[in-house]
Amino acid sequence: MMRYFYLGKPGWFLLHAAAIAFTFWLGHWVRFRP
Amino acid sequence: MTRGQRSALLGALVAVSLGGWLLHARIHPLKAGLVMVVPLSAASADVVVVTLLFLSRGTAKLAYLLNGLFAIYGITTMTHFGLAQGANVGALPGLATTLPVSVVLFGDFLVGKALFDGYWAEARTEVKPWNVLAPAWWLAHFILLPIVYTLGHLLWK
Repeated sequence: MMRYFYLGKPGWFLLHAAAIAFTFWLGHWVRFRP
Repeated sequence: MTRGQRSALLGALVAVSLGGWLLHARIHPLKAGLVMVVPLSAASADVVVVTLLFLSRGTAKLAYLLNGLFAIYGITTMTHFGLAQGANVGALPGLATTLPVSVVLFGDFLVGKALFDGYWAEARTEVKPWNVLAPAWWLAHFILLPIVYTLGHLLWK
């Protein structure tokens, strides 16, 4: 099987933990005044 | 893919992302605060970094990944901006919202997909649909990323 990126399980979990944390924080941080 | 086709797609990628940059520069005055600096710098990175990465086969994977993530984050935050502004006038519902620019950004994503497929067409048969950069993977991230963003917005005040 061919994959474009291969991180291994620890890399996959770390990347997703970081990405979810960043996206969650971004949602918190972005406040548009109406 | 011929060199001419690749050049045309690279030109289309630059045109669409540069158009987006110019729209950002017009819509978001920098003096309105740090939150307005982000769209312009993200669009600048989209124009410069993604285009450079698309120039070779090896880095095209990363270019496609970044281009798609820029599109997902862009569509999410622009939809948020449109909802916060509450504008909904025009000939059709949604025309005066950020829907038009979100549609353009989706076009930018598809141009990136065409460039990527041009480099990696022969490898595609070995890739499962849910593997990274495959269709189901993109669909899942187009759905899950806005959900995490919305949860962060609503739960963390």
